[in-house]
Amino acid sequence: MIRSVQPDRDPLRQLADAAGGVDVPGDPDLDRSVQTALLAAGSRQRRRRFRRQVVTVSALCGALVVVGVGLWRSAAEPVVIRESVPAPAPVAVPAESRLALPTGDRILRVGEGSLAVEQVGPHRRFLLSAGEALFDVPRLGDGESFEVQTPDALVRVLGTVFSVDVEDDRSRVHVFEGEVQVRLENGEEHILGRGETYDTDGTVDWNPRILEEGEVAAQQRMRVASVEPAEAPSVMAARAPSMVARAEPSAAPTVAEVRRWLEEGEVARALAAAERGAARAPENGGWHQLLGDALRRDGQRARAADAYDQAASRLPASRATQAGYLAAEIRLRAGDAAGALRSLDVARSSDEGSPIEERAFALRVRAEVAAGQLDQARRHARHYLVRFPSGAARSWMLQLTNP
Amino acid sequence: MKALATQPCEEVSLDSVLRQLAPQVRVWVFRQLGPDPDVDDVTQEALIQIADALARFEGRSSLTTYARRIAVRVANRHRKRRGRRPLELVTPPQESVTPERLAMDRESIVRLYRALDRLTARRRTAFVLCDIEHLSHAEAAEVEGIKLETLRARLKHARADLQRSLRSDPYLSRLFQETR
Repeated sequence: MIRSVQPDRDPLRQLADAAGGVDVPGDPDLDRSVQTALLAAGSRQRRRRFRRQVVTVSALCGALVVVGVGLWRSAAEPVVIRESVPAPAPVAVPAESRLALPTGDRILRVGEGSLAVEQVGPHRRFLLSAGEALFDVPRLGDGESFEVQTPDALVRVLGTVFSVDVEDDRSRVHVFEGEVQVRLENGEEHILGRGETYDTDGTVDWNPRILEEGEVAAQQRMRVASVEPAEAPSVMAARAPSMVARAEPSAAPTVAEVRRWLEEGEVARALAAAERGAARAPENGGWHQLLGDALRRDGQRARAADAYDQAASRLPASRATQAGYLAAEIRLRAGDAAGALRSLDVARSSDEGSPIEERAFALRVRAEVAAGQLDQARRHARHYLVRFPSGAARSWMLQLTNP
Repeated sequence: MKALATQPCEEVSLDSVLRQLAPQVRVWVFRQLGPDPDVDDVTQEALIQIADALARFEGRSSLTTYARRIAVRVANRHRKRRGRRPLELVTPPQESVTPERLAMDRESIVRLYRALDRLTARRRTAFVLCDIEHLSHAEAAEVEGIKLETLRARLKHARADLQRSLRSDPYLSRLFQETR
């Protein structure tokens, strides 16, 4: 049907109006069209994702081949694993790269700086003159060693995950798992255990990516270690008084031990030990985090959120963001939206650069909606869609921005 | 809106968004193509592309504008593939038919769309959005993703081209001669 048009007007306008007034024939099967569209779109997305994965894997394989060939060529001839071979000249490790050595060592290099492979084989030696790197070293066998030389220290390991950061000839070493010996230029030696940091100056900042990857590598190592026979800890020297973080007295359980109890289901024992640990070392964020985990497992969610908040205010930035996120999630579920927003603010969980920025940002928007801050929530939802176009909360954010 | 906060994010589905858009998409496609036996197929293709593209929607424009832009492009692609359709010979309207009645004649509308087929895609889209769908110039420019001045220039050229083309159409020539 065509609606009437007004007389005495431009004929083209009259024709256009008539065309605009033509009723569109309805589609009785629009529902099926929508279903078909969803299925077809899903299929196209899967195909596109698969193509992307193929390209990524091919690129990675290519890069690995290039790095492997480079290392093989730099390791001098004949290729030696039984004997340590100094590289003809130190082989520079490119910035923002991952290196996997035939001995199983994995090295992550981030940011600017200078890392060179000086020696490969049983006695591996690296020179880190500036910048930051994470070293994931399998347990060393007899006669093997792994060393990182910095301008003011020599770091030796016995199978561990640790990172070294050098700025202005000042070094900072953090151990995620295992043990590391740090020997200074003046001959002074320090042994660092899990979670401990040695800082020659105290002004070096960690790259959050290093902390994140270090924790992941350490967790993987712990899972493997749990099925291996226990090994007596090898203490190489007395603990230095200048360490930033100290181990607990030998009589009290360590954070790692208590966490193992918790993972093995001994919740009450772990909870009691974590409460004692947090009371004994209130400035140690690790104990508060552990206490939060134990309380949550025990069903004491409100107290768990408080413990996570305590942890967030004491832990290094990357771990603090996670603690803050956990606190906020518990509070939001309990209906305390304002409290959830406070926890996220304190831990800066949803700030740009946070390792859990996407999840924390989504949680923030939900908390804002729950708190009735709708304008703010919509603004943040739009920001989320721009920043994370394929984020998990995308469709929810779309609903929020287009009510 | 508060209910959204307690609802898991994944539960707000693409399905409901697409279901709301589907009838509008059909209208947009129909206005672009005119009377065309392929409207159903083109609508289906537009819905698929919208469903696919929603995953990448960044919220830079409104969802409706975003979807409409996709529907217009799909319709344009279809028209390009299909090519021009020949005009059938028809008996000219009787002298007694008034210009207003002639403008509303179904054959006149078919001939308008045939004339639109002879325009470039850009000019035709500008004409359909502004003069047939009655979008404001600003809205049409946003759908097309172009500047307002560009849209106005395309519209002006489209109207001039159409005037010329329809004036030489034996079926519609009387309508244009009488109002000259």
